[in-house]
Amino acid sequence: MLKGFAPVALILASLILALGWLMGRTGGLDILAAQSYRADPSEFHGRHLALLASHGTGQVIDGIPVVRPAPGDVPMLVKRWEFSPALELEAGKTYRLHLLSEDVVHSAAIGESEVLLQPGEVKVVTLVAPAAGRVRIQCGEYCGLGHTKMIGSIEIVSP
Amino acid sequence: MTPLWTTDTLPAPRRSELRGWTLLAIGSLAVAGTLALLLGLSRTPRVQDWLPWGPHFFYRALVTHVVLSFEVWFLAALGALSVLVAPPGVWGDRLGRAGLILGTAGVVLLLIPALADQGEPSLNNYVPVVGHPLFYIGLGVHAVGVALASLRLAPLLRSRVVVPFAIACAALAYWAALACFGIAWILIPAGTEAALFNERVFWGGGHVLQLVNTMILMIAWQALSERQFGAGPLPGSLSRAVFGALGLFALAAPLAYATGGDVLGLEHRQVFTRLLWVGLPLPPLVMGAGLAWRLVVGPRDWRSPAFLALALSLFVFAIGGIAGFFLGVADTRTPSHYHAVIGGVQLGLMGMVLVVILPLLGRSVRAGKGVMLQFHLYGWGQLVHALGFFLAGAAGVPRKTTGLDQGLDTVWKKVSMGVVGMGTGLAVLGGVIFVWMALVRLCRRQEADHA
Repeated sequence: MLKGFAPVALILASLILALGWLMGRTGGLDILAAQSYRADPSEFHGRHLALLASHGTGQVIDGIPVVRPAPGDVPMLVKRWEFSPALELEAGKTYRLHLLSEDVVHSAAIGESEVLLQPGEVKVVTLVAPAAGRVRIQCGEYCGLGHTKMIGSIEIVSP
Repeated sequence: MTPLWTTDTLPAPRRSELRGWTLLAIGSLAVAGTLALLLGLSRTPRVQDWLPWGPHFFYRALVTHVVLSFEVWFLAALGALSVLVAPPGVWGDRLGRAGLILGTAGVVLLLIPALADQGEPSLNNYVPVVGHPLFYIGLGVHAVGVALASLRLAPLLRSRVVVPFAIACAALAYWAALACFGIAWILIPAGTEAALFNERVFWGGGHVLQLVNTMILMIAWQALSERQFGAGPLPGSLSRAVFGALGLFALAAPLAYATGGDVLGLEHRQVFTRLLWVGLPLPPLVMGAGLAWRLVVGPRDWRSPAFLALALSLFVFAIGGIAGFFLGVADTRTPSHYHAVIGGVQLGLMGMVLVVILPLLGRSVRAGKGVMLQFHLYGWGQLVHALGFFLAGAAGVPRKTTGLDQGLDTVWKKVSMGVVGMGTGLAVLGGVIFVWMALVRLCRRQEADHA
């Protein structure tokens, strides 16, 4: 009887799993919660330059300027194969990263979640800086030969 | 004890076709290996200055290496497996012969852009490509060739004998993968940027091909277990159920294009990632448990190629499968997982070639030290390689990078990547021995065993 039961149980279990998979009920999506809005690229560039001028540390990491922004809104330009600027964030403070792709579709994978970045559409994600260390931000959508090197820099600093 | 499906004899046309598919599979591995050597030289300081090709050759060669060793080797192997069980008949012979001709012509076509330094390489997931019409045409022609050969297996989906049913299920899953490629191609808007197009057109079908690869391994477990122990790892009905379960998920996959959101969206990408989480683990887990029990109960003959292939492929595949539950976003734990699971499939296929296919062609390999060395070098090498990648990835080393981009700034990362290199060396040696042993016998004019 067990011999006959096992194959039926396996097929039934697979059928239920397959239906659950098709209906999207087999686990949460790792999609980062984000708001979005359309932006004029030149206006966004202006905000980016203003941030560099007001909060730049004068340091550069792999050609990317480093800024230490005040908690709140932080415009971040995304293009092949960089996230600009590199950030120094204060532990425990809350930041709203405004991410805009300039060229092709990219994504921002922050920790274990991800948001897709379409050119011309700003995605706003909220980030609470952890107590210490670095926050990993990198592109998770294949965007060309340099894709795997497309890793941004977010370092946590003490107040 | 007599195997549960017979491969004692094959009619001459089938033998010739089987030799053709096997030559295509192992010849592709040989070319892939040669390209891997050139890739190594391209990254060697001083040596690279003397080589007559530019930096783009590196990426084209890498793409071609992956396509030959990951797609063509497995799909040509599926073509070879189809010969073993295809129902007799003129139409089956014709489909097989046409499939082999197209399968081979496709590989020749896709090699041209890489060797002629033409087209932009793209390292997208699953099926990396060279952006040249000949490459895409070559891929398509090869895919159609394998599809024709597998078409003749449709009647076997009603077979009660495990191996023919299993190979027919793999063929069905392959057709489902083709359907996914086709649907994605239709749904992706015209003018989509090349990198995104390549990533998404091969994304869904690429995942389904992993179901096919897993079935190929399980077919090897079934066939080799029948050879070694006189019975498969599981009772017949349960064996057919595990293959049926994988076939079920493959059949459901094209429906995800209707339920999984925009083909260019993030949700669509994650739906197919979840397919492997939800659909892939259970069947090989059930069959692997049965196989582990057979291996423990014995008799354990570590000098038998079939036993070695079964034991090592199960162990390497299981380690890779477990690693799959501990992946990061884009670090080297991902290649750790897929090198180990694919290494497991390779070991199973190596066993099929040496134990089943070559003897059937009258070109047996003696079960001596060379065979044992080959299995141990390849199996343990892949395991060491995967372990190094896992440790490096856990420490934050990003995948698909070389040199300074790896950021090897701690002793742990450096040692881990050193372990990767050591494992690679061992596995490559094992692979070279296998390709050499098989190619030498396949290229002989006479069938030694039957002469």
